[in-house]
Amino acid sequence: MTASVTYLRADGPGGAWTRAAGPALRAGTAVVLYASAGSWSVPDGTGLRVLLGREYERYRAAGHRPAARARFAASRRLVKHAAAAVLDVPADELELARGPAGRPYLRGCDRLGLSLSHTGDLLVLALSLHGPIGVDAEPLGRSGCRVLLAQRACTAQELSDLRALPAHERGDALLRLWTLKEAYTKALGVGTGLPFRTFGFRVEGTTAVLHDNTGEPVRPGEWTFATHRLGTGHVVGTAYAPPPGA
Amino acid sequence: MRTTAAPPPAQLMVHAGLALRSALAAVAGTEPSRLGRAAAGAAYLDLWAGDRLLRADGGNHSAVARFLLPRLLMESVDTLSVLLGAQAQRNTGPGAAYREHARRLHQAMWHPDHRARLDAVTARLDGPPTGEDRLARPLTSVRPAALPLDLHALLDELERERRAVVGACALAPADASAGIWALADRYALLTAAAACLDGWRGTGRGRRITTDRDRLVAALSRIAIRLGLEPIGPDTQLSAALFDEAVAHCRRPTVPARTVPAAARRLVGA
Repeated sequence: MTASVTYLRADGPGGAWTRAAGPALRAGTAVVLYASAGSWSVPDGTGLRVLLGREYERYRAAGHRPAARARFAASRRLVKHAAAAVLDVPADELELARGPAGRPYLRGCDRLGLSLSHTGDLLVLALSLHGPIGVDAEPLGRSGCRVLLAQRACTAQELSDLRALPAHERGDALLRLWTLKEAYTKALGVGTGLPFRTFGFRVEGTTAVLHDNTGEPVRPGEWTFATHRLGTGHVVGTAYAPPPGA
Repeated sequence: MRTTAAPPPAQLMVHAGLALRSALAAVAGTEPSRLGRAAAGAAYLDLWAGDRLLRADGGNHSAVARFLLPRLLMESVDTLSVLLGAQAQRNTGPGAAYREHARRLHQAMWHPDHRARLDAVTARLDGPPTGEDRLARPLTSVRPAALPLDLHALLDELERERRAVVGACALAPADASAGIWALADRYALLTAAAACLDGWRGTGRGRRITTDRDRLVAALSRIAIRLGLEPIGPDTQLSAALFDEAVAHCRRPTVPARTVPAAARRLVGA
């Protein structure tokens, strides 16, 4: 199945992305917005208190690290301004809530599926009007113990596929798999509760096919997966339910 | 474009119940993980809360149930994939059946009538709840002193939230806005909490509460989380007990048939 995701750079409120996101979503595609956290920064004060609403106390409790609190505030600002642009409502009227397993939703506006990811200074927000959605981003070329990561996260089929690649491509290929797995578990709202080795992917260009842990492809049509390299040097994995009839 | 009618809440209950059965069937004879057991207990609790809501608020005609149950049930059914593990991706057997029921719940949640379902709830919010509206009166008439400590603390929070919602309804704008949509969500969750509580009666004169308190506290805790409040439970021990209760619940052959109308019975071939 062809993945249909619109990627839009959204550095701060306003701009072309606000006019493009709504029509793309209503046309049946998923939308992935990405931005630097700094472009959505907002100082602590009355404006932030109004914007966060009930989440303000959570912001205040978001650790002692100023960077964590700043990212928390920036991510909420991005979510609310993006949803406001799509739903044509004021951003500070929107309330971000969470289900018992942690899946976020906009209270009373839960038809707009959303998922948020951040890594370093990058914020990524995925939106869908047709079903649950999950997203994850990682910086490409990240150093680390890749062998251990692969053994922890990959099925036998995926390990075999990775070994078949030239050595210099394996690291980024693993990151693609990792972001797809993160995205899928976020779309299901289960976070890390579903071990990554219980399912796998085969990447085909910018799409991926879900497999069970024996390497059998899962019945098509239930989920669509996309993997995309951003100009920022990050890879983004997206999992979403396709519109009915797609 | 023609769209099919949204499935009624009772049919969603059937899908959620069958998803739980399928998940438990997939792990029968194995020792599920702690998280998997908790997921089954959670799904059972949301089914129980959904059943209470349907009984208390007009069944399939309940605007609150039509609005709330798609998300409530979808959330807990999706979490069952933790219990299924690798089985969740199989193309045959209980794993495939589970995914089919989960997919139906996704479709119900994102059905085109979503806005109409929301509007039916916001229509109730044009003033403070009165008369037969369940939120017109406190969540429980039991004296605080007669309540166990954990339930007392939880109900305190929920009752404070009910009063806040009643106050917000008095000031709610007439026009559709994101603020009133959020209020509708809180109103619906509190109506579900009230329905859970209405199953038991304590008189404050020494009579025992008849419904299992632990199940009530755990179900209310899941509603409290959705309201952004602090939950009380369940702890590990209670999670294990709820898993056992979920298993026992699914062994009863008449569960879907007992609580849903003929259309839903046809769905399951009962």
